[in-house]
Amino acid sequence: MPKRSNEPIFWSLFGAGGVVAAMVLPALVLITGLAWPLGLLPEAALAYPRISEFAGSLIGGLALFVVISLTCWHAAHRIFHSLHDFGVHRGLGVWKVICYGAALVGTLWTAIQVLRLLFA
Amino acid sequence: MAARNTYVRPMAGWYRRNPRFTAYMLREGSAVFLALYALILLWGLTALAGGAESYQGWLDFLSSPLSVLLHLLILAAAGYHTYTWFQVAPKATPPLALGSRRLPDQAIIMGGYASFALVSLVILIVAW
Amino acid sequence: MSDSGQEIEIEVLRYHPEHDKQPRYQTFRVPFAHDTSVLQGLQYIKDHLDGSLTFRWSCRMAICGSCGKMVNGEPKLSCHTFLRDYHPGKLRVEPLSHFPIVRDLVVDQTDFLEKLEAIKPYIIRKREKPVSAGVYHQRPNELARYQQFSQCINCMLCYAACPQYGLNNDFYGPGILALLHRYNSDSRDEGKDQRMPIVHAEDGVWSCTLVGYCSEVCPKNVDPAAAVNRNKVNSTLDYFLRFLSPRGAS
Repeated sequence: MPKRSNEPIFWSLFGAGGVVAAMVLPALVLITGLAWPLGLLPEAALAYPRISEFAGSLIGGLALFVVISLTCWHAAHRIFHSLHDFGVHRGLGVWKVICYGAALVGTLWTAIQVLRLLFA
Repeated sequence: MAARNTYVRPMAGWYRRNPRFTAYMLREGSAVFLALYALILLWGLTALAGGAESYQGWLDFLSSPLSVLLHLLILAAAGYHTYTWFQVAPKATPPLALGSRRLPDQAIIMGGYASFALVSLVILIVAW
Repeated sequence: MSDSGQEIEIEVLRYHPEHDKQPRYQTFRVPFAHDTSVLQGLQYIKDHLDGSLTFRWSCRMAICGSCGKMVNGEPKLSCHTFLRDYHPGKLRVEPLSHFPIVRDLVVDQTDFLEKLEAIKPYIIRKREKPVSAGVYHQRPNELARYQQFSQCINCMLCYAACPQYGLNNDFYGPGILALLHRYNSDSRDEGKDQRMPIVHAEDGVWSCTLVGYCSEVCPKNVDPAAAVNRNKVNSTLDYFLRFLSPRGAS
């Protein structure tokens, strides 16, 4: 009987992150990277009071947490599996810890910042 | 029984041998840029939690030419991710019966793009 | 083969292990007509130019699954691919990728056949229904659940298309997992529990990264990518919900 894989855990996070990233990232990248710096959005769109109020709210904080952490898990999973595609076969166990470990750190870090803002 | 003296062709550079494989590797590679953007957002979030001054530091970065260039690359990657994600979405979708027929793949793909367009519009409007 | 006066250059991979350490290429000029297939081109080479050229074929009509080859780097059924579509360019014919080469264009299918056996590709009943008890009844919508996956002709083009199989020969691969799904989805079958352990394994569905090329090259529109990835969902649901069911995992 072949051993059951634990991939479902990582694949679920990868899938959820993929959907979130697909839906939300292009618009966000447009805002932070192009529309705002190039003046297509009003200066006040990213102003401190406005954004800290949003990020400090329950909905805003949760939204940011979901977007950032799920994107981390999505990217970690894809990058890890890409190593195999590039021919890395030995030491994959170490890479697995590095990739998913980084996603975990990103998740925890995001949670801490969101809580900081929530209780500020 | 397996044959003897068979020749096993090496896999090295396999993704360069067929444009379909190269497209796949680019799709996978988009994840690097998505991770980069997650870090940019995380930096912004951290700066925000640190107060107005640290947050201004992040905004100054966003205004820099380096940031704009980076964002252009990230936008291309994120766009390619969105495009390819919904292309393959029907493969993982269990057959959804619509009366007696199965929901066609194209419907699932177009539904995905439509949702993306709607969500993007909402985000842009809210940001304004 | 009627002669319209046109010729095409076919470059063929050669490998005779009795004197070759590694494969080499040999080019032949082959006459062709509007309806000449790549297979007929190979047959012309064997009949008129070099009788030692070795390759598999049988039905000549895209149903037996024997004649799969790489044509300009793409997995194709050689009986179903036409020289007219490559002229005036050059044609390169090689054995199916990701399989060991036995001789010239013939690959070692042992791994594929062993895996095919392992998934139990037949109706399994908990208790056999005797013939005297009559036929199985199956409604059109029950047939629809597995029909496309039953169209597989075991041609192995999807394996030549799958880089994950090339990188890891232990991966069960698209076609066989699609056949596994075919039997699990058949209302007459009661053997799903016996097949799911393969699905749940690392070398089962979890080696697939949805390149999707397998479904693109399948000559019978089986869509193995769908079979494999739907089973990722099945495997995931079972992984998380198995402790809730009184029967345990499936």
